[in-house]
Parts: sequence; structure tokens; C-alpha cells
Amino acid sequence: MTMDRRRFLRNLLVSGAAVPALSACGGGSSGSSTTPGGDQPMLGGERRLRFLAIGDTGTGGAGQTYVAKAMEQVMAAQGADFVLVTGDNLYEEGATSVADKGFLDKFELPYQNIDLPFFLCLGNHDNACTPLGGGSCNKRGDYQVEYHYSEQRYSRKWNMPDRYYTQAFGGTPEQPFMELFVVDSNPLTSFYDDPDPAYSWQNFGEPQRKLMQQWVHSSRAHWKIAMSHVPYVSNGKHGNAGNLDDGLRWLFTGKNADGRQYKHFLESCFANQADMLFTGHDHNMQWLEPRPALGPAEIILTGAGAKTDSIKDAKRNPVRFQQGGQCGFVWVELYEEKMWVQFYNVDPKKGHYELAYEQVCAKPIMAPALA
Amino acid sequence: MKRRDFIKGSAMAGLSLGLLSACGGESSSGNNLTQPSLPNMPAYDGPNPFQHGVASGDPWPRQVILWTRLTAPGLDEVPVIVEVATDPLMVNVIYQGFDYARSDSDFTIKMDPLLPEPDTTYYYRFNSLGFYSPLGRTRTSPESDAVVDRARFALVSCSNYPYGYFNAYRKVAQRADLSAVIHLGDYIYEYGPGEYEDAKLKSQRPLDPPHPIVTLEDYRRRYALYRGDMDLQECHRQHPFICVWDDHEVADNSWREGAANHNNGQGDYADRKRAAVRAYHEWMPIRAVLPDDLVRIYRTFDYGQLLSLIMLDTRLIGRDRQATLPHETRDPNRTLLGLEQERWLFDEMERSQSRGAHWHILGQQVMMAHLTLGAVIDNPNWDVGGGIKINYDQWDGYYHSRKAVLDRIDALALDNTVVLTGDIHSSWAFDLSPDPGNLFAYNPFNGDGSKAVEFVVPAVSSPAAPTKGLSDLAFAFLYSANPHLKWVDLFHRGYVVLDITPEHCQADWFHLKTVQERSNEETFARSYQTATGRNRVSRVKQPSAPLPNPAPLAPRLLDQEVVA
Repeated sequence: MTMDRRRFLRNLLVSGAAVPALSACGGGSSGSSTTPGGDQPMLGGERRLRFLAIGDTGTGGAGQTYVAKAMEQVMAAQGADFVLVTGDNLYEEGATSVADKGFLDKFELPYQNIDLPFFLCLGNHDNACTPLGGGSCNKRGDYQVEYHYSEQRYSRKWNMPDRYYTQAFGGTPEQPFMELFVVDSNPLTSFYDDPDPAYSWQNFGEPQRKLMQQWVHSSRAHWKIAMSHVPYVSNGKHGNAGNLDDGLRWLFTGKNADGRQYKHFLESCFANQADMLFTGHDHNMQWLEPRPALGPAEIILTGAGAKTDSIKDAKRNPVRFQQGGQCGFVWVELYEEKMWVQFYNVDPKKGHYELAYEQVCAKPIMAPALA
Repeated sequence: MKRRDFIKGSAMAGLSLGLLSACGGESSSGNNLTQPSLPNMPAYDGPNPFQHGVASGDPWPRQVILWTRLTAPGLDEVPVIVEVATDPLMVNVIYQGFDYARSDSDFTIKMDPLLPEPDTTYYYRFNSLGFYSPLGRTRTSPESDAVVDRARFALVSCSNYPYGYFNAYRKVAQRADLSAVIHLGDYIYEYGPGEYEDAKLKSQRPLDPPHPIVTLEDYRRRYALYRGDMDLQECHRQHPFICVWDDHEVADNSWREGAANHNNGQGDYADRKRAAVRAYHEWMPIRAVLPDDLVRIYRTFDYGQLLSLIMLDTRLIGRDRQATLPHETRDPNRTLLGLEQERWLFDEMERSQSRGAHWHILGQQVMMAHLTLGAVIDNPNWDVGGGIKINYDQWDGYYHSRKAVLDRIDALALDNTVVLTGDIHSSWAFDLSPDPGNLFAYNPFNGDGSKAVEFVVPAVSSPAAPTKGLSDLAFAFLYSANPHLKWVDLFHRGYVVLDITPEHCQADWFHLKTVQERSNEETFARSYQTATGRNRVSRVKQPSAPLPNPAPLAPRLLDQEVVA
């Protein structure tokens, strides 16, 4: 594409979606406010935070557009502060440069009317050089990180400051209301090993695990939310970490394609720490019950942001809700000690959308009262 | 609470309480601590009640478990006093305490006194009912941050009473320079007469009870029989033991919910397991990890910065049933350690690395290395691979459990992991590679690609190959079929001395001439070491040198009446 068109689009597209302030600057007025982070909407004096969660979005096709339209409606009706994207941001083979047209066609245009920051994580297709999504070209994921810093981006919505990162929301810098922990699961589980030793477990997986563990365990955020692409547990075709892609794995050569090390990674970082874990990879919607090895975390799989797939084994793991064959997204509202979660279905052919399931439940991890 | 106060007071103050004028040591320091009053001894006119000797184990920097048992029919809740001294003549007593021998723990006594110095040899003895126990010797471990330049351990396993004399224990007892004895399991065997024994020794080493052991009482009697053996008693008397069980402490090829050698006629396996575990904790000098979960015995000992000794349970706490078909061995849902223990092991390996320990030693039961009829290239995503496995009771039967451990070693870039193994009554030295049949993953000529090493310990008395000739034949075959195998001897019984310095971790195999009679004869068989950072074995011509000036062995004192 030409520079002119790009500049034109940049002016056309809504830009300047602001990240919710991290600072405790209060609402300007000093004194009486007891809760810091006065920029947050209050409800009966309670802090709250609302966000949308989508995944496996980057087709640029009808499904993605319909989901985006439905998100706009829900946002308008109920509000949202930001969007989580659980990976596979650019199908099928990621980006080949920071100027890749995919950023425009598969992200900026579909979400042009959603004036919110998006926090994205890397999926296997973001690191692939074939339509298979084998995940052996991790260099490609780096272009998505670069895009975050690029002067040439069309809007400021794309947030991926690193391959794995954390992001705080609300509260004070010392005690955010929520902290998001984003994992780069591709080098940990790819179908085919990256020949570049920089992405081996020793050089990438383990340093990431140690850092992530340190971030999570030292964080004093009230809500801790983890996001990764490959599921920890799933009733879809990819299955559970430890036995990912059972029945297909004979096609793979990746040493850790079964996800056993990845399972240990997630447990060692997030067990009894995280309130929620968002993943994608399977193109459907699932709310899975907490698993003992991960503690009380609510596990949500939202991978139906553009493509659809069936629930392969509905009984593999106990669920609160699961739905295949539809596109969709999740809307979450966090309060001080409660969370309200809604699952929306979007018809991938016609674009009709509806609330499929909702539930209000207590915050999974009850923090000890801070003295 | 009173007892604890008493123990604390006496240990902290390092008082010789002067209870026993025979020991002299009435402290003239003039402190005015009130003497705790000793419990009243019941009247007794029988023989010396210390029939099963003394034992110690699970050394920590300032604690060691001290064990004995009282045999005084008709009495219950008998007070037993222990004294610990810095010298074999029991002159400088630094600790005194007491506990009660009770029927509900089979009259065994286990104390865990607080001792003043890490990395120090102590001497101890019990007294009760007017008698002294034999004199015991034990040693605390160094503080975990201490700089330690050398440690030596004896490694033993598979001691079957009716199969022969415990000459291995006898030889280990004579070595004064050991930090501890590591027992990798099969300390007792559950069989009845005629099931698994050397028929020639039937009259000399009769079994008690004379039937397979199933109930708590059976297991207790079997331990009592073994502890009556002079050589085993002597070994316990001289060294602290660090023990884990293998299958025969319950029944052959045991797993979480069953065992090959358990049938429904023997009642519920859970009851049998509970009985076996209880008797084990009563009779072995082991410190319970969790007071309410005796099945959990996996635990770690830090010997300074030199090594972490991580003891595992591959038998009872997590193991799924042994596979029968090759594809079952690759089932990712089957586990050898159980998920909790596996997580714990990974955390321990990481902790060991981050605390700067030089060696990470896994003391466990069954062979971790691949053992095949011909190693071929393996792929973790295929349901077959690696070649035909010989024994599904080993890690070979739990493909994903092994892969997980080797993957963690790889991911952590953990150098200097050494796996110690018992269970199979023979001597082996291996390089550990996830894929030993793949020339791209492991080079059998120089060991490139090896992640760790494994030393397999021969049996104290249980048999393997019936003749030396067969053993050599098997070696020739196995050696060509398993490129990561460096040495195997399937014939001899014996033990291993593990010598650890910052430069090397060396295993010296010592083989016995015979176990059919009491004998002092042993031969040095072989030595293999792994040099620091190499993660592969290499042969050494000479066994490691003994430590200069070890603390003297505990002399054999004649039993003497306690002077009141």
C-alpha cells in the first residue's frame, strides 16, 4: 500500500485510545476521596473495571467483522475499558514486517469503531511461516511487538510491548486494581521446534517462566488475570496442556507439542495467584471450572473471534458453559469482590448476536486483609 | 510441653545433667538450673531389653533422628533415656532426654534432639530398666550454606534376609569416613518361606513370621527379624541412614492402589499398605515429613553448598499401575511420581540450583535410563518409539514422567544431576539422554547430548544373574543395544561408595565374594565418575581415597548395668 493511503487511513481511523491511567492522580480533587485511582467509574462507591475478551481473530473476514459489530453494540450498552485478545492476531502466517498489510486488514479496519486499547498476546499463527500454524518462526512474532512501537501504526490501539508482558489497570502503581499477565505460549508448545536456539526452553521458556513467576508473585494487584494463547484445559480439538492435539501429534516433531512443560509453566506462575486465565487456540467459547493444580482461577477460553469450531469432547473437563459452532466474545466486569461474566454468541453467517450465558460470582482469590 | 522444655533446656545449655555418676561430668559451672526430675522406672528383672540395637537417620544440621526399641514383655509405657556426647567414651555429654516406649508404636523410640553443631560426629546411647543400649554413632549434616569440600556416602539396596548374609552392611559399617548411608529401598522383603530365598540357608536364616507378611503385626515382626541381624545392627550403630522404601517394603511391584504380589485373599490392599507404612515409620530412623501423612517420604537433605540430596518415592504415593502393553507406557495421563511429587521435585531442582548447590542428587528406586532390546530413534509425539523396552516397572513404563524430568533438567540448564537407583540387584552406569538411540540427540562415543548420569547400586543380598558367565553374556548384548550404557554387572552383590567433591561425583562399586556365609572379603569392581559440568560418565581406574582422620567408629562396649 502507498504511504498516502496509509496516512489517509491514520487520519480516518480513530486514534488515541488512552490506556486507563495507571497513576494515582486521583480525579484532580484532593482530600476526601478514600479510594485512589479516582479515574475509575464507581458504582455504589466500588471500584470496577470492564473489558471484552476475544481471540483467534485475525482473518479480516466476515466472522471477525460481525464479532466486532456485536462488540460495538455491547460496549455502547454496557461500557468497556479495554479489550483482551488471546492470540492468533494475524492469520495464517503472522506478519512478515512491521508494515505488513495484515495489521490494517485484520486488526485496524475490523475494529475501527472500537475506541479502546487492545492488549494482545501471541498465538501460534503469529509465529508461523506456513498456513499450518506450526509456530517454528518466532521471529515473525517480533514484528507484532515492533508494531506497538511503530510510528507508522494506523491507531494507538495495538498494545504488545513485548512478547510477554504485564499491564496494570486502576488503583495505584503499588497496588493496581487489576494486573494482566500475558504469556507467550508459542515457543513453549509449537508443533515444530524453531531452529533458532533463542527460542528453546532453556533460552526462552525458562527465563520467561522465572520472570513471569516473579511478576505474579510480587504483584500486589487486587485482581490478577493471566492471558495466554494455548489452553491450559479445553474441551475443543486442541485439548488439555499435557496432552495437546492428541491424535494429531504424530504429525508434529516439536519436542514440547504435548504441552506438559507448558502445563507446569502455567501452574508454577499462576497457581493460587491468578483469579482468571484467558486462553484461545480453540475456536469456540468455554468457561471451565477451576482445576486443583491451578487453584481457584476461573478458566475462560475465548477463541471464537473470527472462526468457529465444534466442542470436540464436551465431557473432557467440567465446564460452566461451552458452545461450539458460533463466533463470539466475552464481556467481564470486575468489582471489588465480585465478577460478572457474559458470553455472547455471534452468528458467523448473518451477524446476529445474543447473550448466551452470564454469571456473577465471587472473586476466586480472597486476599488476606492488608494491615 | 514439659518434655520439650526439658529437652530444650538441656540442649541449649549443653548441660551434662550428671544423672549418671558413671559418666562423671557433674558440671561445676555453678549454674542453678533445677534438675528436671526423671520418670520412675518400673521394676524389671529380665535380660537387656535393647535387643534390636540402635539406629539414627535423616541428619539435619542440628538434628538427627535417634532410634531404639525396647523388648520387655509385660511392660508398657517404659521410660527410655538417651544421652548424646561428643566422644565415644560418653564423657562430654551434651544432650539428655527421654521418651516412652509404648505398645502402640511397637515399643520403638524415636527422638529428634537438638544438637549443638552441624557437620559433627556424635555418640549416643539409650538406657532403660537398668540397662544401657549399645553405643551408637551418628553425624549431623553441614549447614546448607556451608562450604563443603567433600562428602562420602555408602549406597545400598535390596537386602533380602533369607537370600544371604548382610556382608555388605558389615563392610559399610567398617568405613569410618561416611557422612551417611543411603538406602534406596527393599530394606525388607514381604515373602513367606520358600518363595524367594536361598534354599541352602533355610536353617541358618529362617523367616519370621513364617508366612507372607500382610498385617501390621506381620510387618513389625519382619522388621524385628531383620534388625536382629548383627551386621545390619552394626551398620545402623555406626552411621545415620537416609532411607526410602521400594516395593518390597509393602509387596512386589507395588503402586498407588495395588501390587503384583497382593491378592484378594490377603484382604484390602489399602489396609496392607497402611500397615506397611506404619511399621516402616516405627522401625526406620526416618523423620516424618508431615505428621498426618506418613505415605509422604519424599524429602531433601542439603549437604552444604556441595549437594542437595533429593529423595523420591516412585512407589506408593503417585505411581499408576504398571503398563502391560507398549502403547500404555506412552499414555500422558499415567504418572510415576504423581503430580504433586513431580511439582515438588521440579521446585526442589530449581531451589537447589538457585541456592548454588553444586550437585543435585536424586535418590530413588527404579532405573531411569532407557533399557531396550535395541535403542532406536524416538519421537515424543509418536505412540511408539525408542525400541522394545525390557521392564515396565521402571521409568521406561512411564515415558512422559521421565521425559518431564529430563525436560526440566534441560530447561533449567541444570548441570550435575546424578540419579541413584536400586531395585534391580545389579550394577550399572549410564548416561541419561531423552533419546539415546538418536545419534543427533546423543553421541554414544563421547557422551554429547547426555543430560545427567545414573548409577545403579547392586543388592546387599538379593540375586540377579545365576552365574558370572550369563552376566557377561547379557552385558555384551545390552551394551550393543543400549549405547548410553557404559557398564553393567548382573552377578555380584555389594554396595557403592559415592565420593563427592566440587570437581567430581564418583561411584566406586565394591563387590562381595559371597553372601552364603559371613565374610569380610570384598573386591573393588569399578569406578565411574561424572566430572563437574560434563553430565556424562567416564571410567576411573582407582576408587576414591578414604577421608583422612575420620571420627573414630563407636567401640563395642560390653553391656553394663546402669549405676543408679
